[in-house]
Amino acid sequence: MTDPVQVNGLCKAYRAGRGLKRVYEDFSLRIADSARLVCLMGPDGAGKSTLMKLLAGVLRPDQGQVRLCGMVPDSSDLAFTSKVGYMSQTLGLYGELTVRENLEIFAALRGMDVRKNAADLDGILRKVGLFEFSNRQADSLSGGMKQKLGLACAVCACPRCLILDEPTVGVDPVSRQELWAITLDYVRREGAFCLFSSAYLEEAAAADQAVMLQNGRIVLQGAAAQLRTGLQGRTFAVSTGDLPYTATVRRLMFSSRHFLDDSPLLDICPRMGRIDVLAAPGATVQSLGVFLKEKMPDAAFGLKVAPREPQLEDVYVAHTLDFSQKTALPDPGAAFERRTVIDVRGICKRFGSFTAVRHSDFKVQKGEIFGLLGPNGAGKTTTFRMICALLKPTEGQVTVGGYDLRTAKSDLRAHIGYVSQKFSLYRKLTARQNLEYFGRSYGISGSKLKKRVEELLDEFSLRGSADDLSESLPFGLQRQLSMACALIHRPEVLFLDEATSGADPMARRTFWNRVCALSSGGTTVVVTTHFMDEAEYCDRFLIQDRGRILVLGTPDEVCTQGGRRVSIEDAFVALVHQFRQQEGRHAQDA
Amino acid sequence: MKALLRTLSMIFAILKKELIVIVMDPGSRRVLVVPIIVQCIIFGYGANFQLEQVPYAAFSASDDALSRQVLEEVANTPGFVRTRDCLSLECAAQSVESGEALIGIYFAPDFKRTREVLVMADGRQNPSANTALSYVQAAITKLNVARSGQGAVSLDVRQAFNENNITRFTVLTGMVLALTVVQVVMLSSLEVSREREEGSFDMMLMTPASSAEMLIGKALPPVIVAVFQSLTLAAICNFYFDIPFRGSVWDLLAVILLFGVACVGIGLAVSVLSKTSLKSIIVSFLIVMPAILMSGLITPVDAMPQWFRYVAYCDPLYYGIEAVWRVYLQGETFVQNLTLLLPLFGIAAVTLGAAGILFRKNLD
Amino acid sequence: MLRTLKAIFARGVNPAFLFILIKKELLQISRDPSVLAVVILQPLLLVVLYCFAMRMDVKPVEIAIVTPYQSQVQRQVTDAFIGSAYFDVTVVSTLGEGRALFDSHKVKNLLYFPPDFDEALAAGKARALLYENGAQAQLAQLTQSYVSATLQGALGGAASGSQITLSSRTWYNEANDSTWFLMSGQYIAIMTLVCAFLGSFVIAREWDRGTMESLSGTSASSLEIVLSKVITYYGLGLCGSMLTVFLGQMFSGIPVRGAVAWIVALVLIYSFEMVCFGVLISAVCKNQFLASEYAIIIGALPTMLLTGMVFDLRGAAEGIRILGWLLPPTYAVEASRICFLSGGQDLTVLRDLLVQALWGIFFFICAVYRVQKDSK
Repeated sequence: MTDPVQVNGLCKAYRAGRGLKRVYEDFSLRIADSARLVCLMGPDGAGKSTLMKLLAGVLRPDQGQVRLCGMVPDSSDLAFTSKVGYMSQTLGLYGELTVRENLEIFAALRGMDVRKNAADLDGILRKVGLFEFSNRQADSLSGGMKQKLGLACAVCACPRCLILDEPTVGVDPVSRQELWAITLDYVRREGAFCLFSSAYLEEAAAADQAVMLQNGRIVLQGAAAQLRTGLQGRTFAVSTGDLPYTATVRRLMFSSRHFLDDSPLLDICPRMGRIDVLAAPGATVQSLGVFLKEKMPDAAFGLKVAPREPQLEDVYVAHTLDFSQKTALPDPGAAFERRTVIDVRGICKRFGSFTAVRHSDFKVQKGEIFGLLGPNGAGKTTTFRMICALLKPTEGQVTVGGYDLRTAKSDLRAHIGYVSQKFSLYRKLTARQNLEYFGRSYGISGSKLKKRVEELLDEFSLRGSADDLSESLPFGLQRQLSMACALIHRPEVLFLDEATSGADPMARRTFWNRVCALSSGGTTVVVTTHFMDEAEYCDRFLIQDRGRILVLGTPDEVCTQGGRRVSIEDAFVALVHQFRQQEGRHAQDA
Repeated sequence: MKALLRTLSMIFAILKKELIVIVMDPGSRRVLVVPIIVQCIIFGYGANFQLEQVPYAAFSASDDALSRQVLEEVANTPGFVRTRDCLSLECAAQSVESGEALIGIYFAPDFKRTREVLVMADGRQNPSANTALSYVQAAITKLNVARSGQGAVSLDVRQAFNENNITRFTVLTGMVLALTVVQVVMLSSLEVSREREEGSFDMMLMTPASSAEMLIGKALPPVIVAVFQSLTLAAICNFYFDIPFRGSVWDLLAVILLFGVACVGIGLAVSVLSKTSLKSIIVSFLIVMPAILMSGLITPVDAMPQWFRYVAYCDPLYYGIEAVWRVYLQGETFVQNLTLLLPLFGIAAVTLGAAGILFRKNLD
Repeated sequence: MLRTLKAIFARGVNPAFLFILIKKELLQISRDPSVLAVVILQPLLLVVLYCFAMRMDVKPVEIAIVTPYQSQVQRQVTDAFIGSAYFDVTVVSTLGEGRALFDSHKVKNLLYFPPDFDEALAAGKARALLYENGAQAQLAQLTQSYVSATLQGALGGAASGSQITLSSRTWYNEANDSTWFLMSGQYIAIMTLVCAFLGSFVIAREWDRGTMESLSGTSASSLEIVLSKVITYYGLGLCGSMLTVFLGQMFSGIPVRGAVAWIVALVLIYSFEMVCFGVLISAVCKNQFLASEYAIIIGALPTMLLTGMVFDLRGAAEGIRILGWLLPPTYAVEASRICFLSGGQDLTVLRDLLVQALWGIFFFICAVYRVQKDSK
């Protein structure tokens, strides 16, 4: 058998503005036949998508050789396209066509006789759980279903090679598990080769081989188990005992290298009720204990440091550590009174006969990080938009910072910041112009504005691309810019709607460092996310499905089942399944 | 005072952003500048109801000296070119039929008695044919006057504001607005729908700007584009084509501003109502084309049947173009133009008001 | 470029791919029927406008006649004007009054007999003065010929029989109706608008929505992609074009003097050409807004003004005339006039149609090349 992926001396450059942006220069990659499921990972702009497009024949290399399963990628060659399934990051589905129609088009264009194989297509739809939705327009599907349809379109013609560009991005854990199961099943059953990219490192860990790219070069390549060994002895876990969990996470975080220059703590990550630490080389349990005692004399007696097995995420983080974005430490003396900032009372939202949110009630305190979790289509974004006064509740009342949303929209808006799900700044403006526009809209002007913009450009490492059109920025910088624009007027309440969607672990670390620092400084933060592990950073969160709140509490409260702490993802999946079963039963009873 | 300052700064923020969006993208920048100039110049040379060239065929079956005189007089008329020396009526007729000649002149054998010149004109080109006929008529009249010196009247025509009856004067000055309207309506019709598609509309709503501030901030940039384009076109008319500008720039500016606001109102209303930018483009196109056709630029409004004139009276372009003619060619002032500017103001108020109401309604 | 094209065309068309792509286009149209507005509403609107509203012959013309000395001759002339259906006459007795009417735009023309008119008439040197508002040049010119003719007619009776008279026949348009002239050309303009505008969305939309990338990941060749769009939208455009001609014939009553087969061929070929033109614009712009704007700017406006449709090319400057004859619609307009108004001229029509067809194929090949270059 030939090696599934062979790349030799690849050069590829894009035209960007007036210049050329070189993605690859003399790049070579070989993946041996033994690996059937290969994950590409790496930060934004590493060249993952470009490589996948080159392999799928959508792009042509400027120089060098590219071979996929021994074939030269050429999308106008039927022999090639019938054997290769490609799912692009943008999916490229026809929104106004139905699920079935989309599938038929892409199956037929890969050389399949749609009429003869109608049963096969039905089978595929059943497998991805879209059969009942065959006649739904693709536009009206939820994010997870769209991804499933994209995957179905890629596998419909039974390809020998699958190339999936971020198949699980922006998808809730339930759908993600399903997507993963479909892919795995296909690869195992057909003996196919699958190359996919993902920001979820547990997916990379489950693959036969992981390849990490950075700036167009291979940083790591190998099976997860083998890659992990490199970090042996540098990973520790801190258990918090009786100390308040989230507060301790933050205190530890503020003594990590991101905030303190010579700290031995390189990375802090709350996981399963403990705090995982990646330490500088040479650190031991003892030396860390001493360090903690020095930094947190009042709390150190409660903290226990123990060594732990490294995970792929630690490896990834260790390779991408970036301390250039220094976040200012919150003022330790910043005392603020604990008062209710957001008060949601019995809000409902109905669109026609469809109820998106039913009777939500919750309060958020000042300085709290509050999470909204739920599967795609659970009504999170609707709730979110109602709190932000972008949508009028059908019933109920929302007050934010003491302003009633119905009467004082404009005043309220001066005090809140908002980062929306997808990049929604002005694409034709440069980063600086976007910042200036939002600054001016919030009433900042003159030298004050100038100073604030410069400040933010530095803080979010946007200086290098301050004068680039925001549409041409890599996704990572676009996310940074969205955040910077939301913070320009130092809002008291910050709304972050899936602000980390598609971000790699390192970018998310930086993001959460900043959010925690803000909240410690008194900013109230409301977030939604599909990365369940991120909810560990929240003071409290709620899980919602089909418009109903299933549970609300601190991470420990929600995730302790029978005395055992489970991951938020497990708790989430269990809760949602349980709820849906109940609903199903109710529906049957009725 | 402080509130006013705040409002101004909000409007300024949106205005600046919109202008950058329009100007930054080389594609949209090009489409705003190059086509109007190219079109203006092409139309300047191309749009002409006068005939530079009248190809004609002639055949005389009469040996009367007078027929030769008539032919001579016709041949001396500027622009008349004889395409064929015909020796038969068929030849002349065929020349007209093939489109080679615009008119065919024929003297019957009994011309001496009837004194009647027969002219066949190509009715497929009826305005040109009519013009050519009037040239022949003029030549004959001239001959008549010279011959008899009795009963004949020469018509002394003074064409005010356009002494030489140059079509370009009319068409190009009208184009000052007609070329602008296409882009201004389209541009404004995309302002809301495109932002909604890109998702940035929510971001704008999240800022503390009120809906009136947003609307003004959104309405101004296309008006600025309109002013810029119209003034450029007027400058080309004046400096390149030497069409004398008799009015004051301020009066012209007033017309353009009012007209711009009326058009932007239409565009914004379309924009708020359209869900996608594709719909915006289609609807605004469906509005713009008829507006240009009804404006009286290409064919006079006076030639329309009465009931249709009422439709034309709703067309901002009708008032706009008429007002530009009066300011540009006739040098009339703002006050003299009020009869046209008031309806224009009315249209602007209605369209912008409608856009405002729709915008507001859409926010909730 | 040639080698690429050769390779694309050598591969041929896979009927199954073409079929599914056309099906896709049809489904898209059925889900978002707003393009149908272009096909139905647009022709309807424009035909109504052209048939009922766009006329070149102003009737009656408002004119003020200043007759300070109510002499016999002047009264005779005035009566002739009042009796004519071409004029709406206001009679005033002083030049000042006349000027006031003229300046306030109450009348657009002013006819004035100077004090010495009657004597001069007897001496054969009479001059009447016509003031016109030249701001509307074509209107002014028209008025001039009306006035001149009426004046001659009124006084001609008094003159001797030796006067030469002009007797004209307007061939192919006996009633001298400007609608005939306009409409036969406007068919082409409306077809241009409908077809080019339709075509201008199709490829740009795939780029705008990111579906081009997933299409290029399949085996569909750029030839098949472009062909599927051209076929579908040609079908639609053809509906629009036929509707245009049908409605136009219904409302305007212009004759069909040529062979119907020629007209059908003209509609078929011209629609094809313009759809291909729109698709080419779409492939080049890759952005719906720019594409539709260019479709209007380079498609529609010059078609209205540079093809001899309204303004005879014989009136244009040399360079523009050449430019006009380089533009394919010019030939289409010529063919249309012949087919509807006069008939005959088979060779000319054939040449015109060939020009259209060649341009159409050229546009099509360019579009295929462009898509190939950008997507594969």
